[in-house]
Amino acid sequence: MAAASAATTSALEPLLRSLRLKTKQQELLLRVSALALIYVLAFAVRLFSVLRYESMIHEFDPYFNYRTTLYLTEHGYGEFWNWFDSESWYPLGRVVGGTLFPGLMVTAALLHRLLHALSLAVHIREVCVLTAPFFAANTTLVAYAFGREIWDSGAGLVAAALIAVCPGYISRSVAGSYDNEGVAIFALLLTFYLFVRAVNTGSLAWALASAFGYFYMVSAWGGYVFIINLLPLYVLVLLVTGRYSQRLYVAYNCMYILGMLLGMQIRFVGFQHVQSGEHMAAMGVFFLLQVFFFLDWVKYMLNDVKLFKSFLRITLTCVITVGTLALGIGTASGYISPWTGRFYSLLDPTYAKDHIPIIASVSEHQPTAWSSFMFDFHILLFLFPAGLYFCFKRLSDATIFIVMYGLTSMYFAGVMVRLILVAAPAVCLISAIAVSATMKNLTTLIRTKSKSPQTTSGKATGSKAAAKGAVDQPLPFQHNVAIALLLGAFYLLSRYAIHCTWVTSEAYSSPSIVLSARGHNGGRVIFDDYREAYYWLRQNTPTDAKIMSWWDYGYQITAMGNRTVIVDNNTWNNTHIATVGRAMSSYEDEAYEIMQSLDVNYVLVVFGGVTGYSSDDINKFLWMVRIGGGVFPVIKEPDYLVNGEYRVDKGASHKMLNCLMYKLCYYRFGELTTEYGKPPGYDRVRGVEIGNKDVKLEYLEEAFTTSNWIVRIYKVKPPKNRS
Amino acid sequence: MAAPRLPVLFLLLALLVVACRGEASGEGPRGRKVLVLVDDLAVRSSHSAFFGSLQARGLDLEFRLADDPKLSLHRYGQYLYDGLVLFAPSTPRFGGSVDQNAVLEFIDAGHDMILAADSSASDLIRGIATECGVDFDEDPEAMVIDHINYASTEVEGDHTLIAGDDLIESDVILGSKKIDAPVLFRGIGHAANPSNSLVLKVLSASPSAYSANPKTKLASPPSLTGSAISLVSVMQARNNARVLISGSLDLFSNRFLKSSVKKAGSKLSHEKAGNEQFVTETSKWVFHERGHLKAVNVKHHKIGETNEPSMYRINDDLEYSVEIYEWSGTSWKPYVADDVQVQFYMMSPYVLKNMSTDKKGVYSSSFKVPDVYGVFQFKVEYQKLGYTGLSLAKQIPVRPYRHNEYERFITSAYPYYAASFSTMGAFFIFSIAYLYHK
Amino acid sequence: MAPSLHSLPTTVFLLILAVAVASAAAAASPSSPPGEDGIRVVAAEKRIDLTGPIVKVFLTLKVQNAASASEASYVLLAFTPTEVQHLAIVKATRAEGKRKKKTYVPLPVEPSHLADAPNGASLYAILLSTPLKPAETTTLELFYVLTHSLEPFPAEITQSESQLVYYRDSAVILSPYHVLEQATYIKMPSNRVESFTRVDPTSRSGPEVKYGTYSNQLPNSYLPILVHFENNHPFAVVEELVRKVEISHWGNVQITEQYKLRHGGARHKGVFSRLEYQSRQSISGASSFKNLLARLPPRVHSVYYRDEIGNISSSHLRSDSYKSELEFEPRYPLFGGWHCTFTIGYGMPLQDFLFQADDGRRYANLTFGCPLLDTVVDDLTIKVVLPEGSKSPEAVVPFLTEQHLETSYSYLDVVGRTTVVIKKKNVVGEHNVPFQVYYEFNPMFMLAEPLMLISALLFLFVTCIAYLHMDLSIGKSQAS
Repeated sequence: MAAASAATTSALEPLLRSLRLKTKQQELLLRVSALALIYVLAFAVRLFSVLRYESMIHEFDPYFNYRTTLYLTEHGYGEFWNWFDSESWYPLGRVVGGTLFPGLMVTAALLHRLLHALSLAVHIREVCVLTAPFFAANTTLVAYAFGREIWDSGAGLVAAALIAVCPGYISRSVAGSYDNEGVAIFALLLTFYLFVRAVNTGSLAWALASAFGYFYMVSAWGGYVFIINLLPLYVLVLLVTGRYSQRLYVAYNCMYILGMLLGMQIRFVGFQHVQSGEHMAAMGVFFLLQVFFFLDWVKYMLNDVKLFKSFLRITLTCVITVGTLALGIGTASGYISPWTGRFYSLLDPTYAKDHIPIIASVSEHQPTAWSSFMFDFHILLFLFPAGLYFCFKRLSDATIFIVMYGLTSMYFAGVMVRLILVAAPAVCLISAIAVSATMKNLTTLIRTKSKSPQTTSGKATGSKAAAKGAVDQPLPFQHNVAIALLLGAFYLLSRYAIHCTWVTSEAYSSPSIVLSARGHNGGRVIFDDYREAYYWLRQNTPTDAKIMSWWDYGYQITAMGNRTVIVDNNTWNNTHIATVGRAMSSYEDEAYEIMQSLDVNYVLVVFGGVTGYSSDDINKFLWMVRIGGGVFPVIKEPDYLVNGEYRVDKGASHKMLNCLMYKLCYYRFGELTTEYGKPPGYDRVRGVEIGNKDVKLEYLEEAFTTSNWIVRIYKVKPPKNRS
Repeated sequence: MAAPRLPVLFLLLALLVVACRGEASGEGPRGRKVLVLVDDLAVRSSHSAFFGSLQARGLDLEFRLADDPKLSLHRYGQYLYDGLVLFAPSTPRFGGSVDQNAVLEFIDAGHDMILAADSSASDLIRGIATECGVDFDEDPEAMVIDHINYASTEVEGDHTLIAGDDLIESDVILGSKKIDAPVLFRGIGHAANPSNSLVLKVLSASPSAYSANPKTKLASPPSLTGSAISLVSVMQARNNARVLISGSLDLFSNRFLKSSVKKAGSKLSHEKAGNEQFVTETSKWVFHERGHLKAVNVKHHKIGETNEPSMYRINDDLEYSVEIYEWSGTSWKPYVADDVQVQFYMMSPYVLKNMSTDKKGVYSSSFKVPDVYGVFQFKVEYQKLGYTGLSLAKQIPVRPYRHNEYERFITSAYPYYAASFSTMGAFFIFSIAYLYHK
Repeated sequence: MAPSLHSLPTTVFLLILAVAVASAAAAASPSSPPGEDGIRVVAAEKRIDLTGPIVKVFLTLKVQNAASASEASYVLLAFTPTEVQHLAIVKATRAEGKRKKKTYVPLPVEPSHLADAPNGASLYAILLSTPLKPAETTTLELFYVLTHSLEPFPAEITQSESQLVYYRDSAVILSPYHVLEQATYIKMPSNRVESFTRVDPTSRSGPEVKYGTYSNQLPNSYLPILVHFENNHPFAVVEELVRKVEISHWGNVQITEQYKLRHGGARHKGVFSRLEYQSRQSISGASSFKNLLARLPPRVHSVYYRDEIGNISSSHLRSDSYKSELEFEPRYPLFGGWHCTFTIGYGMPLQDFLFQADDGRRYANLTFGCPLLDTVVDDLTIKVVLPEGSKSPEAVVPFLTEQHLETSYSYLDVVGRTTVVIKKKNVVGEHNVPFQVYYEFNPMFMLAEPLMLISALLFLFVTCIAYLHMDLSIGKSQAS
C-alpha cells in the first residue's frame, strides 16, 4: 500500500513540477490578470448612466456626433466627407464634412461595421453609447505601458488602476457621452507614450507610430494643439538641459514631419500646420534641431574650440535673425494667421470675458474652482507633488516629459474646467509613480526586516532611505511603522476608490436631457420634457419648418426634432447668433421683423419656473443680451438691469418685462399656481413673483408646452391681413 | 306603390340641381353666393338695377335685414356665403351672431365685401371701415361739398351732389372701356389710412371739395379737404380678399344710375351718369370676375435636364418656369405681361430677373446659381395694381463643390508634381547608393 | 344640407341615388331582381351603433323564398361604393331550430359577381348552409363594421370645442330584394344630436333615432339620411402597424410592434394651451386622448415602450392569468390630426404558442390584428420570423390576406431566417382571431449558433498560442 502510494506520488511529482509556474510566469500571470480586471473595471464603472437612466446619448454636442455618425453609416464616407447640411444655420447652411473632426464618427462607424461583419446586428446608437467607455478601457492599457516606460511595471499597473476610475476622466467618458474627448484622451496618451518610447529607443518605427497616433488625435479633437506645442517645448527643454541626443533628433523630426503631413489630410485642419500661429513653435523647434545637428557636425569636423566658438556665434545670429524675419514677414503678410481667441483665453484667463462673450458664456469654459479639483482628483491632488519629487529624484528623458506634461496640463486645468480632462492622465501617472515607489520601498523594508535583520540592515537602510529620509541605524519599531504606513496607504487608496464610484454614480451619470428629481415621497420623478417637445416638433410640424431657439439646443433639435434650426452649438458664426440674441432681447414687434427675415416658423424657449430647473433661458438671458449687444449696439445690457441687478419681479426694468424672451417664458404663467401658499405666477427658480403677469402676444401664438412647462414652443403668425 | 318612390325623386332632383351649381362655381376663384344686408327692404327695389346686374352675372343674392335675429355668416366653422354687400349704413348693430369681428373674420377668411356708407353712417359701419384702412369723417353730419364740380342736374341744391370724374387709372378695376360720364355721388367722404398700403382711392374728390355739415355755417376749417378726400376706395387684403368702400349709398341707386348728368360749368351734358358702368365694373372687380391671377406648376431644373433636383451646386445653370393664368369671369386665360420677375433669394436677392413669357401663360427664365452656398428660395413676388398678388416661394439648398468636382490637373501645379516625383526618385537612388557602395 | 354639398361622399351617394331611383322606376318590370328571383325580405331591422369611432351595424333579415321559385342557395346583400371602401368585416349567422334549441350557425360571406347590381353598388353573397326551399322562411343575423365613416364636421375645432361628426346612410335598407317591412335604429353616444334628416315616420328618443317602420320598399331603393351629432370618443387611427414575431426555439417568442398613430378626428385648430389642458380637464380637449390601452397575451415579459429618440417612461403593465394589459401614454396628448410613432416590444414563453401538428410539422398559433383596443388599422403587416433553417412555411388565416416570403438577418445568422409576411388593410378589433403558421424545422439547427461561437473562441485561443510560440523578430537572425 504505502509503496504503491509512494509510487503514485513519485509518479505525480514531475507532472506537478511541470505544472507549477516559475516566478517570472507567476508575475506575468498576476500582471495580466490585474490588467484584465482593471480593463473590465474601467468599462463597467462607466455604465452607471445606462443603469440609472437608459442607453441614450447625453448632453448637447454628442447629439451632433450621433447624427453625423448616423449619416456616415447610412450614406458612406464619400457622402459624409462632402456633406452640406442645409438643416442647420438656416439660411447659411453648414459644410459639415469640412468643419468637424471625423475621428470619432469614423471610429464608431468602423466598430459598427466590424460588429455587423461578425453578424452581430447591433444598432449604431448602442455602438455610439459604448464608444467612450470602450476607449477609456483602452486608455488604461496605454497608461500601463506608459507607466512602465517612465518608471516600472508596478507604476504602470497603479497608473492603470488610478486612471480607470479617475473622476476627472470619467466625467467625459461615461456611457452615452459620445464626444470627441472620449477617444481623444486615448489618442493623446497613446501619442505621448509612443513619442517617449521613440525618444528612449531612438527607433524610427516608434516615431512613425507616434506620428500615426498624432494623426488620430488630430482627426479626433481640436486639443491636438496641446500636443503640437508640448512636444517642441519638451525638446527645447532637453536641448537647454544639454540632453540633446541622436535619439531625440530622430524621434522629433520623424514625428513632426509625418505627423504634420498626416494632420493636413484632415479637412478641418488643412494648412493650419504651416499657417497658423499655434503651430509655429513646432516648426521653429524643428529648424532649431537642424541647426543643432549641423553645429554638432561642424564641431566634429573642425575640432578646434576657438574656431567653432566664432562659427557658432555667426550661425546663431544668422539663424535667429532669419527666423524672426520669417515670422515677422509671415505674420505681417497675413500668411501666418495670429493666435485664435480660444488660444488667447487659454494663456490669459481674463481674455475671453471681455473679448469673446460667446466663449465665456459656456459654463465649462469657466476657471476651475478648488472644490472641483478636489472633486475630480481627490487624493491624487496630494500624491501629485510627491510623484514630482520622485520624478526629480530619478531624472530621465521620460520623467522630464511626464513632469512637463503634468505641470502644463495642470495650469490649463486651472484655466478651464473642461481641461481637467487633459490633466487627468498626467496626474494619474505621476501619482502612480509616487504610490508605487513608496509601496515598493515599504514592502522591501518589511520583507528584509522579516528575513534577516542584521545581515541586510544596510540594504534595509538603503530602501528605508528611499522610503522616508535617510536614517543611520534601523530603529526598533521601524517594521511596525512601515506596516502602519502601508495600511495607511491602502486606506487612502480605498477611500479614493469609494469616492470615485460615488462621484460617478451620483454626479457624472446624468444625461442632462432627462432630468430626475426626488419627489415628496422620496420617489424618483423623471422630467422628460425635452424629448417630449422635440418629438412633438418631429411629428407635428411641417418638415421644412425653421425653429429659432438659443444655440444651446440647436444640435438636439436637429438630431431629435429633425427640423431646421437657425443657430446651433457649433458657434462658427457670431453674427448669426447675435441676431438671435437680439431677437430674443428686443420687443415683440422688432423681434417679429427679425424672425420674418429669417423665415422663422417656430420659437422654442426653455423655462424652469414651474419645476425649479435652474439652467433655463431666463438665467441664460444676460448672455443673449451681451452676445447680441456685442454685434448690435442697440441692445444695451443696462436696459435689462435695475441698478446692476438682474431681476424678473415687479422691480425689473420695463425692457426686461416686455422683451420677447420674458414674454415667451412667462406667457400665461401668471395664472398658474406653482407652489402651495405662494401667489400665482411664483417663479420657483428665481424665487419671486413675476412682474408682468398678463403677457399678451401679438405676433406669436402658443403652439405647444410640455407637461412640466420646461420647453415652450410658439408659432410665428403670418403678417396681418388688412394692413 | 308610388308612395315610397316620390320622396326619392324629389330629393334626387333637388340635390342634383344644387350639386350641379356647386360644380359650376367650383372652377372659378370665388363662389357665387352673396349676402346682401340692408336697413329696410326698400333698398332692394331702389337699387334693383345694381342688384340686377349682379344677378345677371350669375351671383345669387340673399337679401336679409341687417338686424335679422337669425343672421349668421358661418355654420360649424364653414362660411355660408362667398361675398357680402353691406347696404345698411345706419344699422347700429347686426342681428344674430354677426358683429364687427364676424365681418372682419369673414374678410380674413378670404371673402369679398362691398360696403356703402351714408351721411347717417353708424359707428358699427365706421368701425368696419376703419379696420379696412378707411377713416370716415368723424363729424356725423358732415357730407362732401363741392361748389365747383357739383352736378347741376337739379336747380336748387347745396352742392352735395358731386359729379366726380377723378378716377383711378386702372383697366383692371374699372374695365377697359373708359368711363367718360362723371359719377354722381352724395354722401360722406373718407380718407385712406396713410399707414395702410393696401387701400386705393378709386374715386377721389376734386381739389375744391371739402367735407362739412351743409346745414350749418362752417365754424372751424374742415378736417378733410381737397383731393385728400376719397369718395370710393378699394382695399385688397393680403389674402386677396377685396373690399370696396363707398361714402354714398345713393351711388348704387337706380336714380343715380339712370339719371342724366351735367357737370356744373361744363357745356356737355351726358344723358346717363357714369354710375352704372362704374358700379358694374368695380363690382366685377370686387367679386373676382376680373384681375384674379393664379400660378400653377412651378418648375425648375438644371439646363439640359428635365427632372427637378433636390439640391443645386454653386455655379449650376438652371431654368425656372411657372404658369400664370387670369380669370376672365368665365374661364382661365393665360396672363400676358412683361414685368413678372423671379428672385433667387437668401436673406437678400442674389438674382433678380424678368421672366419671358410665351403668351400661353408660361413664364420662364434661366440663370446661373451664384457662387454662394446656402439655403436659397425661388421667389416670385408679383403685386400689380388691381391684380391679386402672387407670392410664390420655393426653398432649394445650394451646396459647394464636392472634393472631386474641382479641376484635376492644374498647369501651375506641375512644378510641385515634378518636385515630389524627383524627390522620390532621388531618395530611391540615394538609398541604393548608400546600401551598395563600398 | 347646404354645407354638406362640398364634401366628396355626397357626390358619390348622389350617383347611387340616381341609380336607386332609376332602378326603382324600372322596378315594375319583373326582370330586375338579380340572382335568385322570388326571394323577399319579409322583415328587416337595422341597428347602427355610432357610439365609438367605428361604425357597427347589426342587420336582421327575415328572408322568404317564393312558393313558385326554385331553391335558393344564397342570399344577396348590397353595399354602396363608399360602404365597400370602408367595409372592414362582414359576418352572417343563421338562426336554426325552433324556439327551444335555437342555434346560430355562422355562414360564409363573399363578394359575388354572378349578379351585377345596378350601377356601383356591389353585392355580397351569404352562402346558406342548407338551401332555402320554396315558401320557406329563415332569419339571418348580419353584422358588419365600417371604418372612417364618421366625417368630423366642423373639420377643425379649437381646444375648447367638442367634436361633432356626420354619419351618412340610407333610411331604408339597400337590398336587391323586395323588403316588406323594415326599421332602422341609429344609436349615438350622447344626447347632443345637432340634426338628423327626417324621413317620416322618424322618431328620436334621447341618443337614439328610429327610421321607420317603412313597408313595401322596392328593390335597390335608397333614402339618403344625414345624422349630425357629438362624438368625443378618441379617434385613434393606426395608419401603419408592423408586427414582427420572432420565434426562437430556445424558448422565447419576441414580438416587436411599430405603430404609426394619428388622431383621426376633427383637426386641432389654433393654440394648444397647456394651462387650459391641465386646469380644465373636462372641457378642454374633450376629443383628445393621452393614454392608450393594449391587451397583450398573458405571461408576457420584458415589455418595452420606446420611439426613435429613446425610452418613454410612462407605461404600466397589469397582468393576470388571462391577459396582460399595457396602459401607456404617448409623449404628448394627441389632438386632432397630430401624429406619433412608437414601438412596443415584449417576449412570451414559447410553449404557449408553438405546437406540433399531427403531420409532424410545427405550427405557431398567434393572434391576428392589433392589440390596441377599438382602433382602426389602415395597413397591417405581420412578419413571422421563423428560426434559421426552417422549411416550407405556410400561413393559415381565416380571411383574405396578401402573403409573401422574405429572408431576414439577425444575430449570428448565416443563411438568414425565412420570414412569412402577411398584409391586410382596414383591420379592426373583430380581426383579432388566432391564425397559424406551419413550418418544418430540424432541431439540429439549434446547435448551429452555439457551435459557431465555440469554434470562434477556440480559433482565437489557438491563434494566441501560436503567436506566443512564434518569434517574429529579425534581430536574432542577424545575431546568428
